[in-house]
Amino acid sequence: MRRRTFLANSAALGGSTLLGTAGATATTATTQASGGTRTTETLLAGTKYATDVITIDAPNDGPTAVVVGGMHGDEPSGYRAASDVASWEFDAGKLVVLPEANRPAIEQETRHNDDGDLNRKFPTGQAAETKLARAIWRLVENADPDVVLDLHSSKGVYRTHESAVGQAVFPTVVDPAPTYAQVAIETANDTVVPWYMPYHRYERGNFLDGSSPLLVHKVAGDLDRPGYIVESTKFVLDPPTAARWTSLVAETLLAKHGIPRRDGRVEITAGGGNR
Amino acid sequence: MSDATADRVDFRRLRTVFAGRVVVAVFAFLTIPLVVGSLDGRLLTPLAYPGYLVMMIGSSVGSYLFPNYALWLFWAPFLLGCYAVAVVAGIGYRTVR
Ligand SMILES: [Zn+2]
Repeated sequence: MRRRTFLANSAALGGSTLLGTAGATATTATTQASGGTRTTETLLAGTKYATDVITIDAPNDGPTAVVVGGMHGDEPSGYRAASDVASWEFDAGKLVVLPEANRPAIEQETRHNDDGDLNRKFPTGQAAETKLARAIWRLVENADPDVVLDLHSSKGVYRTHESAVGQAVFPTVVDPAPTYAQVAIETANDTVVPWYMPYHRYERGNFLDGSSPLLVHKVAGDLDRPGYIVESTKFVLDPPTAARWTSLVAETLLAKHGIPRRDGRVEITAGGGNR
Repeated sequence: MSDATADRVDFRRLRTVFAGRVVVAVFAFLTIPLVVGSLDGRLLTPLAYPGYLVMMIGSSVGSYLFPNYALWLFWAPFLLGCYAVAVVAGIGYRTVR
């Protein structure tokens, strides 16, 4: 477990400067309710990348999840779904949600920011390549997550349009991600994708193993943890609907990992979370 | 029978072929439920299914032939394709009747 040890060390080193470089973190709000604690902080406060991080500490102990949206600024269903997750209450576990990872790109409604494609800046075994990517990776490492979700929108339909990714869930090679991805896909296809849209059924994408410089690849490569990229399409699907479908996939994955949403749509089956 | 009358008859026949009631009805049936549903997913109904199939099959072939085209461009050939289907349906309807 070399990676675990490395993570523990870096978490200890992180100490009080959990989120930003040079302590550039501003806590803006903490609320406490029966549903646990909800804290909003700012990642890279005072820079052009400044963006909210919402931490939800559910009343019962459980695993930790990091949920990221808005890595690409022109993918509204991804960051809308991440905002959904940030607004939910949970029965157990802890969530660190970064709904709008790439604020400059979101404001310009472009895939890239000035530094290029943010989701190509996370090489396995090396430091992340830009200031924003390093801040995001530090956030992930310090959260010490049991699972990471990265929510995106795509343009076409998987295996229907040339080089289009989806409606698809891409799990890391790390168990039980491939199995849980399949459960989430089936749940979404059974409950939200209508029968008369057969091409829009979610499919399982290839395994992420650290061979590409994507955030979730690095989760597999450096942390050896379960992680998922969730892609919902813009094709013949409006962003609010695609976001609802993405939210359901996220809810299912979190529930399978032992972080059930309070009053959620996904049924928690007996023994769920350790199948 | 004057030439003018013959022209008018021809024009009326052309209009029936290209814009008759059956043509308009089939075109609307193929396009409206899908267009409305893609603008607001809450308005998607099974009525969108025929248009959806035309769109998915057409855009699948289209993206194979023109992989560099933005996918939203396929709405144009979709509308043309639905119109072609509607004209054929209109001709078929009158042949059978
Ligand atoms: Zn993306």
